[in-house]
Amino acid sequence: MAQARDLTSSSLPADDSPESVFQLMLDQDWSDGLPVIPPTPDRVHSMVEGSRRDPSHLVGYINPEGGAATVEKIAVNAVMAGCLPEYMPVLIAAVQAITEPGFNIHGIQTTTNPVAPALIINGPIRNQLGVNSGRGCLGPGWRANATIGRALRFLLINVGNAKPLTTDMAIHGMPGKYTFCFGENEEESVWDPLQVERGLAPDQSAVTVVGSQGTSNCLTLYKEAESILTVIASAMADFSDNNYLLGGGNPMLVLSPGHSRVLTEQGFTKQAVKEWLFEHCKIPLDRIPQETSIVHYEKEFVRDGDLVCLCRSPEDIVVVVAGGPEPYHATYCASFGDTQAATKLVATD
Amino acid sequence: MVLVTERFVPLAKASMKGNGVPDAPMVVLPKTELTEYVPPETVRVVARETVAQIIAQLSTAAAPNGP
Repeated sequence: MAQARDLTSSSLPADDSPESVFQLMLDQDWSDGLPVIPPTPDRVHSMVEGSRRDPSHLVGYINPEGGAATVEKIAVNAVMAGCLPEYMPVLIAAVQAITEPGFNIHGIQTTTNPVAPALIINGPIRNQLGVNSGRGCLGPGWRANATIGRALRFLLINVGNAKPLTTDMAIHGMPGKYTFCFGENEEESVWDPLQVERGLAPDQSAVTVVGSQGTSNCLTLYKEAESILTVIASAMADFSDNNYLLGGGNPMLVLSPGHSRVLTEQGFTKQAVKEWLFEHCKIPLDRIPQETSIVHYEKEFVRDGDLVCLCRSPEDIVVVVAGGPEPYHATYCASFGDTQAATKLVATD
Repeated sequence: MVLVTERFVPLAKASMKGNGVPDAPMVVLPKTELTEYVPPETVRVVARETVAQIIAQLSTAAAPNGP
């Protein structure tokens, strides 16, 4: 088993006070602007132990700079974010997922769009780690949700070198760039969970990453399935979203367990929901301004005659069931467009 | 050859490093407001100047005694 002395990261002398450590992190551009836990060798060693991997084990290269995300580097950033050692397998799977070529982490890190990787955690590990998949799962108050997402952001900043202003070129950014992590409410959903839909077994834990622009609420105080879907489609059929412009990506819909129940009772499977939304989110081409600063941008559109589609196919719409039980609100996350979601098994051996 | 607008130079350098070509020749274009949101004739001037810079850089790189 590795020892703290096996770590290879360089160290800096620092005063013991929290304020001094925080200032050091800010001065080095290593923080997200919030205070961090100092990644001392002992703390990093404990975090590495949680991975059951050697600290030098390479998980992936994170662009734009192609930094090597070794277990040790993941552990350093996990400590800084406030993670527990048992979160490490989830973080490793998350790094594997974001470094899948189709996910296009280079584009996601460097674009002027506000996109961030949204992490969806499935399987038994959700409950083992205390990941919130119920009420308020996209909000504050849950250590696993908050710190796993934050640790990934630190990895994007510190290993990938996506620094705001210089290499992260987002015009505005968005709050999900601090942390964007939640579980699927598998216990209360009536549909197969996301990892099963993507080829894994119900008893396997997984992380899925989706390149999302942010969240938009849909108030769905309706009893009829088509009324609910009509309201949701009104939020999704927004030509200002990158997925229309770039003709791809994974628009993501987070429904409540109540939605899955009401929709199922009225004959909608998860696939039927996707197909209905795909059809009802087509926008007439003549509603879209044809002048633009980008030459021939319309070449990227996914067309159905004179209609422009939300994305390439109904299957590209990601539907996740999470949150509180009432079917009152749905959350829509438009896509960056030039990205494909990726799912990785969480290795717990 | 890396073509990049002014504000994106640090990003280009990070990407060049990530792609294993940290010292690739680079031509820097004016910032976005001076290229995308200007009359076509202004864009033509920028394009002509840029092509000249590209040729100059590639010629220098290709020369036997070049840097």
